[in-house]
Amino acid sequence: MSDSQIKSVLHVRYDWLDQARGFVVLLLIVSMPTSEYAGDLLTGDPVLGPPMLNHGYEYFDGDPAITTFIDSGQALFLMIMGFVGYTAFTSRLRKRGKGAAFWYCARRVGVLYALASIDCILLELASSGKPKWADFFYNGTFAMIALGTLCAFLSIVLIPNADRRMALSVGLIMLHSLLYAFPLFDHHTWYDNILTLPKFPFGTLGMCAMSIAGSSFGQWHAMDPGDPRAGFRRRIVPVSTAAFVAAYCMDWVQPAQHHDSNAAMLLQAMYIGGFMLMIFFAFGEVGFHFPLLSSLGRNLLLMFALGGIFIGIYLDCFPKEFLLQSPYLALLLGGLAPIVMLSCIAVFLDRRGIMVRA
Amino acid sequence: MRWPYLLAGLGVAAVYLVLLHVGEDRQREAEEHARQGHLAASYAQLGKAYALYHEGQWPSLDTRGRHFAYDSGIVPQGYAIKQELEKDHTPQAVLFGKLGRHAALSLVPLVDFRNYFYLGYAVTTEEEGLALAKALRSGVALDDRVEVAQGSGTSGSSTLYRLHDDIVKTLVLDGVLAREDPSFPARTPVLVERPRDGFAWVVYLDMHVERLSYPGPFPVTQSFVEALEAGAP
Repeated sequence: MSDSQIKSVLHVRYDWLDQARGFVVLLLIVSMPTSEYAGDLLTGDPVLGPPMLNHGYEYFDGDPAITTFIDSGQALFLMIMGFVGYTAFTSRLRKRGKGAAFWYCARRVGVLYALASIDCILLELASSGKPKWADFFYNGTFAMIALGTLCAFLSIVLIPNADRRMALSVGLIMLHSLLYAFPLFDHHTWYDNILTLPKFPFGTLGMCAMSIAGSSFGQWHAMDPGDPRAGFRRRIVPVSTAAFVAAYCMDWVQPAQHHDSNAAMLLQAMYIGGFMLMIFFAFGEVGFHFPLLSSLGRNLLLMFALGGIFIGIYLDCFPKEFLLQSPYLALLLGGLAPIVMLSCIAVFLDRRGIMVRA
Repeated sequence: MRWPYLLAGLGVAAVYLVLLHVGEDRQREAEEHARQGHLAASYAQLGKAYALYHEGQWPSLDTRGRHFAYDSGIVPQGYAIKQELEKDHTPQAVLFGKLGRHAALSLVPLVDFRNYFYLGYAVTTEEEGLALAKALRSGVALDDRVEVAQGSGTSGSSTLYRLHDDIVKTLVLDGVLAREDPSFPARTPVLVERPRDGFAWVVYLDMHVERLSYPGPFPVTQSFVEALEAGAP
């Protein structure tokens, strides 16, 4: 549902945060053509687009696979959702009561599951004739975001203290790493579950941990209303630094793996998210502002849904053989056009004050 | 300083690190087992690939050497990447291309075929398997069905049928099976690994793979494995 006018101001909207959200959307958009045209280094199928802005496993899916910060994208997205979700949820709780907060949560989760039904049921029925039920309920992208969002809101209600919620998130990441370490459950391996181990929703567990961490970051940001830097100084930057060290150490023991969002991957997303928030906050402090990012960020969920569904269809119109004719053609049609198209929609909505929120 | 919390935290960290270490060790062990299973499945894939180009007919057994192995020369050789080309090393095959940091890599055979027994015929019980082993030793022609004693053939018939992707339809047409049994391919072994350390990987006609304890159920009963080894090079 959309609000053409915001009838009552629930909470302050920070432009630097919209810039950060817009940056996440931008990373999502650029990762789609780089994935589509990833090619195959071994067979000589040409690679188009910057590998750094694509999932590393598309180039080498070994043990360990190559990882880039794009691989942390989904976890980073959940963290940002948790970050903004904290303020949105608690402001409704404070100003409009439990009922409003509950319906906000239900609406948000409901919309995400509606998107999951389009992605995993309708589109799958149209393409392969068989819906992906596991993806719809817990394993697909939209389902993970829905469950992660639900976990974040539940944790805010059950554990009001941000430090303790962060401890819960760390505990979940540790649990994830232990379950992943032992050969108990199937996970994304090179040998395709030849040991016939049962499935476990590792990705979903990881996303829940990230959204809970994001909600803690959101609460820390608001810890001193008179000093917006306090939260960064006392919690966000130190915790992100600790996550950086932990991610580095964990990557030696249990290398980062995108598909199962293991501990090293989650910690990578945590420090990237924390440092990214700090960077954009600093941009705001010095007055640096890139208008397009704000427009993209204000309709984060809509951009995510539109990008996920329509950019793939757009890219199918330009087979790689066509783009290989000229690198400028590849840049214009593959690299820039998706950004331009989604940006036009974002700016159009932003100029009319339309924010599609769940 | 909150010593109790610090000590508790250190304790939790220590337990976590120990568990993580134990888990990763077990994972490495499991991955080694999986690697062996994957090798067996890959070797069986060579027979499957042959069947794809021969209307579902799997390769015949080694007719010259009378071994439980693919008939030589009719199945593509499988290779694994070994190492960079070296001056004093004569490779069996070489892979050229943009191979990461390499321009050429030497290849070695995917598996030592002596570690695997390709059955070539559809046998699902020990009696049928032993009849097959006897037929192999006796010198009968192995390019088609083999006549054996009643009850010792495929599914209790008097004939051993060659492995085929559509074998169930053939068995129904010939009256060996009353109706199509979708579980038949999952019960029909095509490749048996030579047992080691008390285990053996088995690949079935539906291409699923199982790791069975040895000695165990067919096709890793002691007598059948001994019969397979008697026919080994």
